[in-house]
Amino acid sequence: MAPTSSKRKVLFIEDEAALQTSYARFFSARYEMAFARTGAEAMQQLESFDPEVLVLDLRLPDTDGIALLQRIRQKRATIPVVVTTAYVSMEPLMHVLDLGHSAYLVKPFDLNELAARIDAVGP
Amino acid sequence: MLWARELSHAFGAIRALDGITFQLDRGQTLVIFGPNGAGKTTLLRVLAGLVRPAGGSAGVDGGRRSIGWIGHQSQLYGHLTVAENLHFWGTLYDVPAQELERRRAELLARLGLEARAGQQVRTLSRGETQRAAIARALIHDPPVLLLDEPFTGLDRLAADELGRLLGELAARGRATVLVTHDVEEGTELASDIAFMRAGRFVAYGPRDGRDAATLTAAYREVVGGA
Repeated sequence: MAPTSSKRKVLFIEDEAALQTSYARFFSARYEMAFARTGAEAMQQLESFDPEVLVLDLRLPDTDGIALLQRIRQKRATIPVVVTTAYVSMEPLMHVLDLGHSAYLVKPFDLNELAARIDAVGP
Repeated sequence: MLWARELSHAFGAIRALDGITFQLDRGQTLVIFGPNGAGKTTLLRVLAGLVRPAGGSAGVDGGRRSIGWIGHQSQLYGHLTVAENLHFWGTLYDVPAQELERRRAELLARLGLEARAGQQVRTLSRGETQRAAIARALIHDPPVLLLDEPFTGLDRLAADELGRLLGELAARGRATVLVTHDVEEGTELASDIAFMRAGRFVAYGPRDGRDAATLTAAYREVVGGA
């Protein structure tokens, strides 16, 4: 029988290669990880990887992050999402909070801070 | 009327300002919320021309004389009376004598200081001193107001009155930047909101009618605490 991992399954939706590398180095011992670089990949991984938590960058090459979050919520209404963004406008922050079950982190951030947010979002 | 572009500043290794950009037009009130040490006071001091930023630029239409400033110090002379202080500052800003007399009487009445007009500032309570400092900042009817925690030391009545006064000044086209650590305090006055953390705006935009409870939740999310 294959061993089962007790690590949380986290899908990182991020198109910046440097950040993907950082996440992989920093979080691989802590989480079971998968990556998506686009909204389309994220929707596929939502089915195939079946994550418990998402880390979602709001700026993606093929879609607006808020629109993607709304699509994700249609499939997984309460999956916890940590939104990361370089935007400082008030609008996306309010959208994300309205959608619920989310945390919001403005770039640049410390990876320990991201870990704390991932660990804090339910369930 | 008032603008900042990519402002940066540091005190040793501490980044007090990091890429602050905004613009404020007539009648707008930007309320900046942030914890102690976020860089709010440094930002106001740069806008007021009291600190030269390490990077970026900032400006006010009409220059420094267009600014009314309330900081942590009252900038009042303790051995002068409230009325004498207002006369001194009005004269310094070249307010014509008749106009100065009218404005002084109006501000003393408006800020509940008529009975204290002849009293030396050093004998005033903390709240009265803050009210006198507000009168001092407004004596030359400046088009731009920079207010650093202006509600500090005021009781509920005085705080409400200051809120009404600032609302009227905005309606008359005054542009205001108000910084505070208390989201409940400044929300109603704000046309625009910024949350500040570690020298940066982490959220900035029009308030769009959002109430204090909504903004408090958002502030906790991106700044923490509150």
